Amino acid sequence: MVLNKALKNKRYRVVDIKLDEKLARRLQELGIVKGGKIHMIRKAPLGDPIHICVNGQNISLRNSVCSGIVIEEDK
Amino acid sequence: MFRYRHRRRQIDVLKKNSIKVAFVGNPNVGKTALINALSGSNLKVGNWPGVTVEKKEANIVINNQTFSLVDLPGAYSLNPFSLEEKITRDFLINERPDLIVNVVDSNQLEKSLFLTFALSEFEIPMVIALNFFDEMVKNKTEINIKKLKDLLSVEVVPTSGVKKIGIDALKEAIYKAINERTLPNILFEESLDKKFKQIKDMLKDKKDQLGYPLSFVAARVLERDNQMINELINKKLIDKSILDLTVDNSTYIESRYKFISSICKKILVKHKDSYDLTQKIDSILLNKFLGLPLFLIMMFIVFKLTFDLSKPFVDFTSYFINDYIGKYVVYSLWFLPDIFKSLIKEAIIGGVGSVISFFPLIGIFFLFISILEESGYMTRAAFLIDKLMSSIGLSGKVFIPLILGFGCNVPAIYATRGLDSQKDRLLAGLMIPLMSCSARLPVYLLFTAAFFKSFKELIILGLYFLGALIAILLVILLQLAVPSLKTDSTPFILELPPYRIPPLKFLLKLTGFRVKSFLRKASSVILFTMILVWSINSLPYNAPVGESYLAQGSRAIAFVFAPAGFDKWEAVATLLPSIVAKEAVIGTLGQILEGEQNSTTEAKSAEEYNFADDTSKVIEKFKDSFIEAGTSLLNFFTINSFQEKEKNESLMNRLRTLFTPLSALSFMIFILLFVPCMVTISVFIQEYGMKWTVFEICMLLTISYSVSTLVYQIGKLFIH
Repeated sequence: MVLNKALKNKRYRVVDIKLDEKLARRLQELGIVKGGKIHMIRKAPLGDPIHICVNGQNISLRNSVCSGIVIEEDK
Repeated sequence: MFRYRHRRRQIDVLKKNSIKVAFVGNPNVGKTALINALSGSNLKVGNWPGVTVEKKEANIVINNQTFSLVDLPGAYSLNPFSLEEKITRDFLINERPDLIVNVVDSNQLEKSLFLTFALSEFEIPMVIALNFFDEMVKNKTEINIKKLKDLLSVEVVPTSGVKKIGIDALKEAIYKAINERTLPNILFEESLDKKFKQIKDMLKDKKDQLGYPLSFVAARVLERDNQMINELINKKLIDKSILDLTVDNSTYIESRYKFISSICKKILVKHKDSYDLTQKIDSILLNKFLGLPLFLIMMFIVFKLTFDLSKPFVDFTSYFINDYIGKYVVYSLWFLPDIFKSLIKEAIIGGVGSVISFFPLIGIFFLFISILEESGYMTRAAFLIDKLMSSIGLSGKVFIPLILGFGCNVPAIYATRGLDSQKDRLLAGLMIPLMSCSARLPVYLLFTAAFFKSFKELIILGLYFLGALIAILLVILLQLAVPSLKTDSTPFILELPPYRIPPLKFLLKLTGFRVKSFLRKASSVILFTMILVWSINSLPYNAPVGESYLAQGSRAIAFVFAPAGFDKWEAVATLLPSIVAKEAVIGTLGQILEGEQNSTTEAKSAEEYNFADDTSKVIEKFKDSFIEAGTSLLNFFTINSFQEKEKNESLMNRLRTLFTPLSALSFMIFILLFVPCMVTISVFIQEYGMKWTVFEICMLLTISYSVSTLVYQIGKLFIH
């Protein structure tokens, strides 16, 4: 599934990043790397963007970016 | 050979008058506060050439040696994604500072070290400042500083710019690093390290032809940076076979992160999950139901405090300069002919007065905006409102300058500095003059009172909406017309930094620097405009109002405004003075329509010069302005600046002979959309350069003319 579908307060693992190179690179530099963990915190009151936590750092991403981030539930 | 070079460089450095030290770090790591603590009060705030990114510099002396410290814009990596990051990278490559102080958030070591590693590739001596160290101690985390230092072979100093911890130790480390000039280690995981060294060996002999530091080039080749590889192939420095040694850049980054987290495991001991407090505050401020209402309340408070608190002081300063200083300066210049006295009083002192009277407003505004920025709330506001703004292709942060524009365009344009992309900054700037500022309100109030008594609130509200609507349409059209504005260069990725209480002293200092730069830069444009407008308005000297150049010129061009419905010269004559200040429309109309019975000549002879009386009056007024500011805080839910001025029946009667209700509406729309006041223009030039200012002025002229014509012509169809 993609990051848009992530549920509040759940933890996920990044499987793949399907975005253009420049954007993918920036996400990776922020620690959103294949195999890395993402903690979904909340959606903004208007539904977009979302608030996630990566390596203890709070990041906000637009849904248009999230749809390129493939994740799976972290068990 | 190596030893010789090494020594020569050292001598060079000591001979040079000042040593360049670049402060580099992620956004929100407290770089500025740290430089401020290091330099005492020598911080200088300016702009990076050609762009609207703030540049902060300071000089300090350590052991008789001058160091010039430069605060480079915050960066997450040196592979530039934003304008700020490009400035930072270009500075490191082109200016080759003598030393990098890498400011690191001790609480987010893992994330920060990514930049540290990238910085090590530049082959510049480095010192690491572990900033917010006090917070980290509070969060019950420990860093093994010695291990980190040995690993990277750089000085590591725990600091807190805010609490002034470790400042002397940092100075010592800077001095030591400059004199020893040891370069930081460049670290990779084993497999990449081998390849990195191989690439480096291949390039070693051609070192001087690379144009960049050797390790920097080797690292770019390693991560298969096509631009760099092509450049090298074109220069015939490498051939395609080198590609066998490269990895794709996601492997490169993943490997680096893996390596960094393995280091962090060795040197970090966490006793508690950090940033509990930020999470808790966010659960309220970003709450699904509370988030937006709290945001609106916050905006209301900032708006209210900025404009209401400053208004009495703005009025006082303007009175003080024009009616006190101006009066006595002219008095002391009795030997000059009247025409020069008028020029000095009205144009020069008036111009200086209008700049200085903006001081309280700009000062209070900068203070609040720094609080919002430094505390971490600004990015939350962007998070909350982003969806609305993204629908017109802008980021959430743009909302704040736009709202401020309704109070005064000047601080609003300054607020665009805080936006993340050049595109957002420019588009927001172009929109702001269309936000109807509070100086335009008195014009609406007068005209609606004269022509639209029964539904004047509706008309005024409509005007505000019209301005905003046209701004939105404009942004959409501009993005369609100018492709470079459409491509979303910085898609919305925002770090939500931990909440911090910004120290008041630092905020005040920062505000002071920003206000000073406003004074320096705004004065020239304003003086020029004031002298120009004075010449047109007051010459030929002592001619009746109807015979001034302004009146003559207005008569000549009045026909142009016939399609918009106001081709009377009296109406046209208000447009030029409206550039001095929007509310001048009323004063000019008053002067023209009501004759001169109570103005200039008569008033002048009646003017009394009693210095002692006037001085005590000034002091009295100064006290009053504090009381007024205080009461405005008590009457929290009324916005003072929006309150109606006393009605002037005779002026309104004369207006009714000049305008029909329809042409009055068209005139109000014209004033709403017309060229902004000169202070806004001068700030606009400061922030976006002359080219965009000319563009904006031409565009506003076109828009104001065509919209008011459209409204008048359509209105005429309905009335007939």
